[in-house]
Amino acid sequence: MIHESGPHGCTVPAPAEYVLRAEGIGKSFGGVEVLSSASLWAEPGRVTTLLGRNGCGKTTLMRIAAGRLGPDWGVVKYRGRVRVAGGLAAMARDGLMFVPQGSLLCPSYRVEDHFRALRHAFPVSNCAFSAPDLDAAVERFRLGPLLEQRTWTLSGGEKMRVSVALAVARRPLVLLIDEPFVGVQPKDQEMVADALRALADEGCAVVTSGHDVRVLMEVSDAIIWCTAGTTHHLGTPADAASSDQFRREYLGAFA
Amino acid sequence: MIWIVLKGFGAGGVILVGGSPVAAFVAFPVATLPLVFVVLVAVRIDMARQSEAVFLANLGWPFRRIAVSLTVLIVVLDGAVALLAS
Repeated sequence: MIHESGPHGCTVPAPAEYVLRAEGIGKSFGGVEVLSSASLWAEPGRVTTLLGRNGCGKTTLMRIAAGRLGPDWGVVKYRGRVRVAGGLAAMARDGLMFVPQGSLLCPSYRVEDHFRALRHAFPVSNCAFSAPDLDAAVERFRLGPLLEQRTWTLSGGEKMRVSVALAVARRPLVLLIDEPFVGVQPKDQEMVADALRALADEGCAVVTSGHDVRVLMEVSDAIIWCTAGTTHHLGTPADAASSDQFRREYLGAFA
Repeated sequence: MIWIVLKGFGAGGVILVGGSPVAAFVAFPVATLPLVFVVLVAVRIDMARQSEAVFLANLGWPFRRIAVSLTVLIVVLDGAVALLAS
């Protein structure tokens, strides 16, 4: 296993070990540069977390990596192939799942409809991922009482629980989940964190983001710090916590 | 549904300017193109509003595929109506 040195002296995996890699990404909106040279990767069996202050471009980077947005420059590779904007559907058929900030759900659909659609879209197992295990996910996330509800009636935390349950049922190769702990009560945060950890332990490459530092640091294997339009790969959460610059500029009093 | 409404408006417009309502239905395929455009734009906007685009993409369904399905459906419906009306 060949490793290269990361910007902060940490080790990062060799390119062959990435299943998803967004590299040298730049993006501007209306002349305002959000990202200048940011990178993000997903490795099987690991939870990688993107941290950074509000407006630093975490969501933009996640959306570009998921094929929902085109970069101004830079390249996104998924399973060894270069992917373009609008490519989420093709990557999804190939095992990727993207849960955007807020939730994945359609407001006018019932919770149950989402599970039905998932079962319809991925009815059989193949070598890449298993067939959706819907009943187990519904039970695990205590969604029974919510199944008949329209999703616009759910709270933010309930929506995220349903979104994560869909991801667990889908068992993707790569899960990109943007800010999974926003609006989620502490007890459910634990449930969501356990689910992300379990997915990674089964071999899924999980990439997440957010500001809930305590729970994100607990669940993560690797931390990427997004700041000033670029990214710094800090290594493990322990490595990140020992970075003076990261503590001074992001963690603040939390450290 | 949008197709029915637009065809209804089309027929209504033709009657208002003194034409035969049949003329509104036999204008295939010239009238079909703007109809397809309006339907696709309306569906795209509604899908974005309902967050359906991301959910369907996660199921492996790009909007392109939905657009092709809708276009085929509209062309078939318009063609069938034009055939019946003529």
